[in-house]
Amino acid sequence: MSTPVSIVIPALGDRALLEPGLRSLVKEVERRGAGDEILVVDDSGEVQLGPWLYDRFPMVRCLVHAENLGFAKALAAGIHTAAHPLIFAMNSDVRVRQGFLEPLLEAMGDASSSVFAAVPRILLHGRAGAVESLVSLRLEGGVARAAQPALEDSDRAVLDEERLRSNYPVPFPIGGACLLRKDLFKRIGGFDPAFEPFYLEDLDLGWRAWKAGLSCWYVGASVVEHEHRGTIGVRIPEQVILTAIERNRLLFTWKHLDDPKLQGDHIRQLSLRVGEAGITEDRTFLSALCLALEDRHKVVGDGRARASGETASFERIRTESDPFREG
Amino acid sequence: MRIALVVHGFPPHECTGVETHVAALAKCLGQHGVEVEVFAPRKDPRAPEFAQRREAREGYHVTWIVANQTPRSAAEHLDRPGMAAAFGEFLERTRPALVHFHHVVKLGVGLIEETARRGIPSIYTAHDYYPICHRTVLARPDLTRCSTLRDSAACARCDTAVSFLNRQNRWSDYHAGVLPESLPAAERTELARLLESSRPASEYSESIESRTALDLRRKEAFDLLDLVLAPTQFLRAQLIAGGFDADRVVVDPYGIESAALEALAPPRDSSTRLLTFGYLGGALKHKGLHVLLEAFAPLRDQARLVIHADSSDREYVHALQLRAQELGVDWRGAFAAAELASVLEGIDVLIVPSIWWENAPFVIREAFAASRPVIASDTPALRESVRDGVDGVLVPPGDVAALHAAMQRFIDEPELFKLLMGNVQPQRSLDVQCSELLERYGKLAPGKPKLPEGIPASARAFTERVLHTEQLTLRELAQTASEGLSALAASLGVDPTLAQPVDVRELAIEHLQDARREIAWRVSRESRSIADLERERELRMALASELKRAQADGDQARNALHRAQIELAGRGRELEASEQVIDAARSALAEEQRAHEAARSALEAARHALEEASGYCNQFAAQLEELRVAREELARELSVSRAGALRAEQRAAELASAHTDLARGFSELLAHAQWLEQESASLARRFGHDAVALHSGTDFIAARAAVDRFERELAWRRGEMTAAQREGGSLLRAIVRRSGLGRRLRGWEEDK
Repeated sequence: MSTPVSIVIPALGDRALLEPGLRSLVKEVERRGAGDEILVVDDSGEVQLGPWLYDRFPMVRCLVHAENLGFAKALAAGIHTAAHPLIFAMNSDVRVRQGFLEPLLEAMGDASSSVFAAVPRILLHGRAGAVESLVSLRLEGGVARAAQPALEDSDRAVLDEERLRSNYPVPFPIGGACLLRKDLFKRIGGFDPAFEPFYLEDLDLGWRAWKAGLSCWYVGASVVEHEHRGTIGVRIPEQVILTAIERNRLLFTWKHLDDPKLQGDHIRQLSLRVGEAGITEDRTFLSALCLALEDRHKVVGDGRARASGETASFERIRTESDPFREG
Repeated sequence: MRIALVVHGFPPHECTGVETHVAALAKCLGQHGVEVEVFAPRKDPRAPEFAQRREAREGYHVTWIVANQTPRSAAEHLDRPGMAAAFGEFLERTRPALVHFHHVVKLGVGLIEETARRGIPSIYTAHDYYPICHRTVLARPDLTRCSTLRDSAACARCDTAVSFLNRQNRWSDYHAGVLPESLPAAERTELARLLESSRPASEYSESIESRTALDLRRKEAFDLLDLVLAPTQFLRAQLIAGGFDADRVVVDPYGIESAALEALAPPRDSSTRLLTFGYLGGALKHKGLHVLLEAFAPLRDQARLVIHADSSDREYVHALQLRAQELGVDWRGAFAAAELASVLEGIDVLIVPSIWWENAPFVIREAFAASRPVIASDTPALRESVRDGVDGVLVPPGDVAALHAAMQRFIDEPELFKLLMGNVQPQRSLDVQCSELLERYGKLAPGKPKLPEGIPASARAFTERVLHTEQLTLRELAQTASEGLSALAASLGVDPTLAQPVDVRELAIEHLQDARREIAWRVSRESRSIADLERERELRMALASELKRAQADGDQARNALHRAQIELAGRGRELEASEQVIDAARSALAEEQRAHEAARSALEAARHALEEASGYCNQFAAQLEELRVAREELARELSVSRAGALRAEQRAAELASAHTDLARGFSELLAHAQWLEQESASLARRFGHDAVALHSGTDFIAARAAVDRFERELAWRRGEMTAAQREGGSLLRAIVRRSGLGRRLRGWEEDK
């Protein structure tokens, strides 16, 4: 009998978005017959999903909060509540394909494994080759960026189906669909609230796992589809989302960039970019930088959250977690 | 708080009341801690259209937008294409919490729409009637005051009247309208007809349709404003009557900078010197300066009149200047705002002789601040500024006699002057107005950004922070970021000098921004221009080839025309000659016809003569036959009677001789008759042929010659015929007489 998994789905109350995902998931769970648990965290801030879930999906548990927590906190709450040590975190707009869990479980190894998380091949809108989860970390202008080569035209050509079906180390498991170990999640401190309300908290989580000597893996044999119908995008103005992403890239960089030379280069490039943004009227970057600077105490200096056992350097992790590195 | 003031002109380029007031307001708001960004158009032929330049002033900034192009239509007057987008760039750069419009002419209502689109609260101060009257003055083109609101047909009549006036070249610079009495009678009548409300709408239905659409657009734009300020109750009432919600329109009287004016020495009455009346303002027809000059004319020896006025209505200004010169009026022209105190110091009484619905002239407040009483036109709004008999005198607008009488009173009644001067109240200061404006600004733009609906609770705080940064200018963001970078470097243990402060580059950045915008503008314009030029080139090439073809065709046509002209000229000459020939031929023909008739008569006579001769011949033949018979009988008798033989022989010889003579005469006569017959036939043929030639008109000269010939021949023949006739008759008579034939015949008859 296969290892049971707790599947945690933070949801904002959009039933139309949630229903097809749950249907495919329930079918798969029933097929597996491993005693998997499905836990929906109702993050609408209202009791919107409980009665509906009870009526439509009686096997699904619903965790209700009196207020909207945001994706990271809702997921963390679900993880804490989950019955099993292995958690499959999932967005409400993800559709699983048959057999998605087994390859992930296999990649995770046993309880003594140092694999923190395994991420399936997440196909954007179900399109073959449009893989969201095959990521690497790059420094652009001295600032970290999670690159998704399979989604970027310039790199897509190098990713044929055979390569996509393999397993690779990745810097982080995308929070929208990944299998992770609950105990390790707790050990490395869960999500960092500095990245609230959204975006890049999963990058930080995965990076901290690597720092702690753990690893994260892309598992090509496991396939899910991401509808990307805007769990956040439909509720938050685009400018706020773009600013959040930019701010969190800066916070991530400040938090994890540990090489003095890279840090100096980062500051120098930021300074130049401020001037450049002034000329090109790049308000998004300047706004994000101002907000990040306001929040810097959360990630650097005394406010910097350090989990125990962090050892690996930024550059080493960047190299080790790069799925496209030579050799 | 940062606010934007938008105005249609700004000192030093435009210095009339509103522009100067807004400049003072900007400065005063700056002194109240408000960050003021003024947006105003100006002409600058050296700069590209819509180029923007930001200048620092005393406590505020002005962004000039280049507006060189003149609107080409009523729609462009209402909303200049491209201006709203340029204003959007200004808003993007300056991030005002509120936009306070003071006018949108020369700029367009698109600016109000752009402000609303960005969710920025807005206020509009109605300095005139533009929100309800596209002509701004609520006066018709004949300068009569308009009381018709919310009636696009009435406004369309104004449009058609303006179009009519525009077509009369000499009235091209008529501004708010023309004085009908200055128009020629026909034009005055037509102007009145065009403005007549009973005019059939079918005559100007297109104008009504166009004006209705434009009025609707203007109304929709003004409906986007959060608040409308009116300096007088009257203007507020007009705006409400014109369709504005009463809740949105509040009275906000003008404040002025009065300190320098209050320090002036009070004016003196007429008891000690000649009183000086003064006019300060625009030299525009609806301001009624012509009324003032005529009212002053009889007072030229009793008082002085100083006029500080000018306008671009050059024709009107020139006429006023000539009249002022005749009357000995001191015409000073325009003055700078800084000279206001000294200008007011030079007058004792201010006159505001407007003939339109004058609103709230700043100059009245300024004159009162300088303790100068005022004579003003008695319009509803001016009643709010001037208290008749208390601090000034009101006279019916446009009434020369009433204005003259009021001025006369000031001259004649020094006590009245002192009374009015003493009653002048302190004026509302600009500082007070600014304080009240700040309250209004604060209510409309509370500072804290309004969150969009539906933001999840977990994202609200961050969204608010992002929206707050949206209110900061790029400069402020860069400054904050730059300062924060130094602190960050310190936190990371990095050399802080790597984080260069951005303020040292601020100026360069601003210049670069300007340059970038200008380059972007130029690139877009050049791209457009190149594309346009390409299209134009192709068009021109096509036109050139067409032109070439047309030219060739034209040349050909011209040559043909030339040829045709020459031919025509020849034909003309020929025609002329032909006409002469035809006339001559007609005369000749008439003559020929007459000759022909005569010839016909002659021919007829000849024919009769011939018939007569023929009768004679027949008669002769019968007589000859009788003679032959008689001879045969005589011969028989001779054979019977020998005695009678000799006699018979003698008679026979006589008869033979007579017979011979007769036969010869008959033969001659017969031959002559035959010849005559042939000649007549020939003559008739020839005459017929010549007549045909004559009638066909192919050769009149030849025909004429033939006719002449024919005539001569006919005359000759007539003579010949007559002679032959006569000769034939004589011959017969001679023969008959000589032979005694008749007698013998008669004897023989008797014998028989």
